[in-house]
Amino acid sequence: MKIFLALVSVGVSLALVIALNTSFGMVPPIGKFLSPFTGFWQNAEAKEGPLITKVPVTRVQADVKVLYDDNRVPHIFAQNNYDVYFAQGYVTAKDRLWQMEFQTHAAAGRLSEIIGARTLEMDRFQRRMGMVYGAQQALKAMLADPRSRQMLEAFTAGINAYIQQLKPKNFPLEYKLLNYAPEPWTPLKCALLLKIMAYDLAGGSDDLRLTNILRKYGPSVTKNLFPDYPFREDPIVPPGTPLDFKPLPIPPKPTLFMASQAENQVQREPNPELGSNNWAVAASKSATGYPLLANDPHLNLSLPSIWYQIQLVTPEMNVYGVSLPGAPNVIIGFNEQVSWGVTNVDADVMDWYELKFKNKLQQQYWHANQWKPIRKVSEEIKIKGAASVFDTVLYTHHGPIVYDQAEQVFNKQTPVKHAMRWVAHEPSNEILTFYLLNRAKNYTDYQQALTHYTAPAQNFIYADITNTIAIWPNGKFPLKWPDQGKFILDGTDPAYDWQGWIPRAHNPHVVNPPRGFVSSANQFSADPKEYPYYLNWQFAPAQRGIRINQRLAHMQKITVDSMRLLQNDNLNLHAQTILPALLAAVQPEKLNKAQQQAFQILSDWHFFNNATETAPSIFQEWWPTLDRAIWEDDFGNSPTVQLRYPSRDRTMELILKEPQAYWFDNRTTPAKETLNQLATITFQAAVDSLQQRYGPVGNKWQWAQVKSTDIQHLAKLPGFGRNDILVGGGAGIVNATGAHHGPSWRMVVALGPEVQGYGVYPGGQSGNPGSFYYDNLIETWRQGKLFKLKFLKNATEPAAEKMLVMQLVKK
Amino acid sequence: MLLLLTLIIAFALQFFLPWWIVAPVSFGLAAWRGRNGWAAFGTGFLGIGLGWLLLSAFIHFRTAGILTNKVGQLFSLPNPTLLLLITALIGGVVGGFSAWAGYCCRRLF
Repeated sequence: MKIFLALVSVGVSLALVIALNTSFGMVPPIGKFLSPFTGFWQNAEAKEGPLITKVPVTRVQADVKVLYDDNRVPHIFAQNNYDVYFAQGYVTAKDRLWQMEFQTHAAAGRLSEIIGARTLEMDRFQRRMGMVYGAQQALKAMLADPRSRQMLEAFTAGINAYIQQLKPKNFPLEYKLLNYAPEPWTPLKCALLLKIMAYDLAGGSDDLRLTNILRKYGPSVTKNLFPDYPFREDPIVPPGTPLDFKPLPIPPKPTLFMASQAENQVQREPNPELGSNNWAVAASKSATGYPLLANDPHLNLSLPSIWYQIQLVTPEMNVYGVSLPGAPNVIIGFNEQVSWGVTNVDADVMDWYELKFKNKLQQQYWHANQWKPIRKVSEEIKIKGAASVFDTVLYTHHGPIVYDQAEQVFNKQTPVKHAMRWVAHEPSNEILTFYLLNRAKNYTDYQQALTHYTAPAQNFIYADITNTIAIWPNGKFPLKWPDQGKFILDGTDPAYDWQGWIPRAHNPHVVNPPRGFVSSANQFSADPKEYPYYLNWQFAPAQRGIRINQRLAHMQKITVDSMRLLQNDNLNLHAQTILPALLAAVQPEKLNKAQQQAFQILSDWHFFNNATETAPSIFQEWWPTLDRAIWEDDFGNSPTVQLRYPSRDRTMELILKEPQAYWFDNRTTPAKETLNQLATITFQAAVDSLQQRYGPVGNKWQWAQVKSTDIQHLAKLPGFGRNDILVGGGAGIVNATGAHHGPSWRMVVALGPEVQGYGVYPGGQSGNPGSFYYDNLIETWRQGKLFKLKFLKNATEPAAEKMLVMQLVKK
Repeated sequence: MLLLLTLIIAFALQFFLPWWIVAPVSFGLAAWRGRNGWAAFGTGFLGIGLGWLLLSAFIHFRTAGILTNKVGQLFSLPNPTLLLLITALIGGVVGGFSAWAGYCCRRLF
């Protein structure tokens, strides 16, 4: 009996300890995780947490002083370039290590290593897209330049110095939840991080859907419904700006090639609502007599925040702004002489080539009248708790064949057995652009910096203390014949290849225009009638750009606050353009009482998507319903063929100018529907569905509640995000705050003898969910206010004296 | 006396060693001084559970419960302070069973 009890008790104890030290699926090891000595409790931080004041590190060349202000923004004072990037790596890792590593794991197709088999298809997709291949190409270019090489090495060493000091009990919380440990950082990871941005911002492709449309409806309908320029537009380069270069000849357009129908397509598309605004006003229009600059990049809203504020100071440089955790430099910001910001350029830099294989083995493809070999790259995908999966990716001279077998694809816009040509696979050195911008003193420096930039192409806006304002839609753009890449291309004929690049100096641009401001909101870079090269047939809808330009044209004596108010502008220009015509089309006698009430609310609306208005909820429910009613019968997806609807602009033009168009008829019914009927039916349906979700017309219909802006945790962990934030705005509005995306950093800079910066982002400097500084900036962001950024001139000025100090000292 | 020893020794060692050090500590102390099965289990349970409760409560109050709330939501707990009790319970169960095992093993000799 004694022996039995001893065996049982020891067995139970051992089993208990082992079970509580093991993770099962997504459940963390409970004992290890709950222990207040080593588990999650150790990640809880008091608001005024102590800061270690002296950190000995082996690699710095001289001591580095880091001052933390009351929003926990680090201001790094270093003696040389190596030390400043070492310290940037160190402090960024200290706040954001898990985020940095998780993002690069995702980019590299390595999530299954930490999460398990359920992310396998995503990992395969990343590898098949050639994300690591692109990052390796970029890394080669970065290491070839001594400045970027030193920067990468220092930044990497800084991150690794932090990782080496970490004990398991101090691992960021997410490592404890997923039960793994940080691995050493490498320069390749910096490159991978930039490739994620390239995928988010320049990884979209409509080629497959448009090819299917072309096959179904022919060239004239396709041209009519998917035109190369919208009916209302206000391009970045103001019309009438003279060219300051002699254009190159354009490659000849080959006779029309019609791709065979490609069956399969993509799910994980870049979000079309990702966009951004930026603008700069000339001294003549500002109250201070110096230029002002504003920027608000619209990205997916998440925690930890996408951006990390930082100030970098050396004897040759003093720059403040936001960085991307995992990459050195300030990406958007200012120094004492200049300020700059970015928005995305929607140029077409991803094309697909239909291939002709020699045989079923798919080892050779036909190009330029010969069989060319296909290169095979083997990929090992490690999986947590299971055996590795091996995959082989095929590469042509165009790029990877993303899916080489007829199979279930992860992203439905991926044509199977086609090769991809993507600018993100080019060697590139974007970090050198930022290195130079951080040190820029004048317009020449800025122009010089831009020449190193490839992807994702950005509209780099610029203002300086000598009253120059400028904007360059900047990146490496293929020299294409008109519409090259609007549809799937012929992979056998070199006439369809990318045949060169638009010279840098020929990128669209404008300096000090007579109107006194420059701006961009992802719209067309230039009017294709005036600009000699083809960049794309479609850019972001023009409404944000038009509104910004209207307001800026009218504004005089502009101040920081008027810039801030413009960033928060909620006018729904789309509604203003189309709603009167839509309301006129509705047949009021067919509405019931609730529908009449909603109709009245819309009729009284002044088109602002303010948080407490009800009208935007009705309009934003109605428009997509109407859009579907018009197009679903003609351009709806079927399980085998992916199509897309014409753009919102084209639909608006049709309603305003061609209300009798054939497209309003629903072809699946014998009766002939009219615009008036569709408008009425869809209005009724929209109101009914709002009623079902929110009850009778009332407070629950308020826009902020219906829109429900959520800032989710990067790994979508429940409880670690912030839900239902009470804000107005919306997609296509200057204040582009949607359900999951929006202004990820709002900045206004007033140049002058003492540069003044203002900014906020929806999150906090710390990536630790247990920190007060994880989400403390959200409320100010929600209210549309900005913080004054503490731009320090030196480490001994009065403002600096009050800050917390951390020193990196030579060991 | 045994309770106090378990509490103090385990508490101190956990600052340097992995969390499961609580098992050998409870086992050893109960093997040395355990009076009977129930008492051994009780001292182990309280010695470890109290330690875990004390430290987690200290952290919880010092940090205004920021993280307790989030982790509580992550595990869908109706009230985040339940996390304190669950923490104490898990520590206690490990301590209790290990101490009981220690007592049972001593009875073999």
